[in-house]
Amino acid sequence: MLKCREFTSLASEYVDGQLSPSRRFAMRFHLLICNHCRRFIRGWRQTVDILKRLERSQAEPSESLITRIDDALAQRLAERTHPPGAG
Amino acid sequence: MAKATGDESPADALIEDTLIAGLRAGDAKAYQDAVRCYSSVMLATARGMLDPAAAEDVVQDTWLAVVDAIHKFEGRSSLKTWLCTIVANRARNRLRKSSRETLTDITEWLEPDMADRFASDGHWGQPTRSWGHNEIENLFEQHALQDCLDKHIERLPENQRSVLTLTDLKQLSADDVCNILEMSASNVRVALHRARQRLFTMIEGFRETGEC
Repeated sequence: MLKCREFTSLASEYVDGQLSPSRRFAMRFHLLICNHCRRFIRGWRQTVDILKRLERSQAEPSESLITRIDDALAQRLAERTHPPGAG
Repeated sequence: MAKATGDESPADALIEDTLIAGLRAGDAKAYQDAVRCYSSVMLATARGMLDPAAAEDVVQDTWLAVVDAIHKFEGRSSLKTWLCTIVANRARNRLRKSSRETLTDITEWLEPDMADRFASDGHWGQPTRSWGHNEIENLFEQHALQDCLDKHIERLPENQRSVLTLTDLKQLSADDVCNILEMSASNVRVALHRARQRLFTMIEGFRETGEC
């Protein structure tokens, strides 16, 4: 029989659908009998849902970065086409 | 061109083939399209390990390296995975040079804060309070929670931050995440679970106090 601590350890794999059928059954059975873990898994699902929708502002490339990369690439491509000193 | 996401369709694969042909031919327009399509996920990969300025440098350096390396791309992974793998390798090298690489114990499934909430018999000692339906949904509409999540993601250990960013935020497949970060599937699962626990605990505190 699963303990609450084990249930909590397996929560990510449970909500991500990565558990074997027997483990999944054990998790569901535990949920039937444990009010604390029912509360926990409700909060856990909401947390994971929010994380999947979170736009991490600082991880998006800024316009200035894109421009910098464009410029550097244009220079590199030009050097490949017309190597310096190639006349 | 749309930003690369976790699930690509056959049409996306066709677009990717066209893009790769353009990159191999040194077509400037193909590079511009690719930069706009993939830089977001590349930056997210680098940000999992590096500070913002260093992460931007690594993304730029990777694009320059692609000009020479694209001829070696054999198509065994998607272009996105290949690009992110180069970014991750370069970010890892930077970490090694700056000796900032941290090794975290990733054999234990529970974060200490979570583990402490259980009694010795394995049952809850400090159970979570009741979560209302859509409670976080309402909180999420407030920017304060999003800002707080950003802050706490920033504070995660490097391996947890990398895995969480690529898995949950960028929604890459587990296989891609393992390949890009050179981690085993089980280590990826543990790191993801521990990162989520830290943020779950953070949200619990935010619900109670409204403070980050």
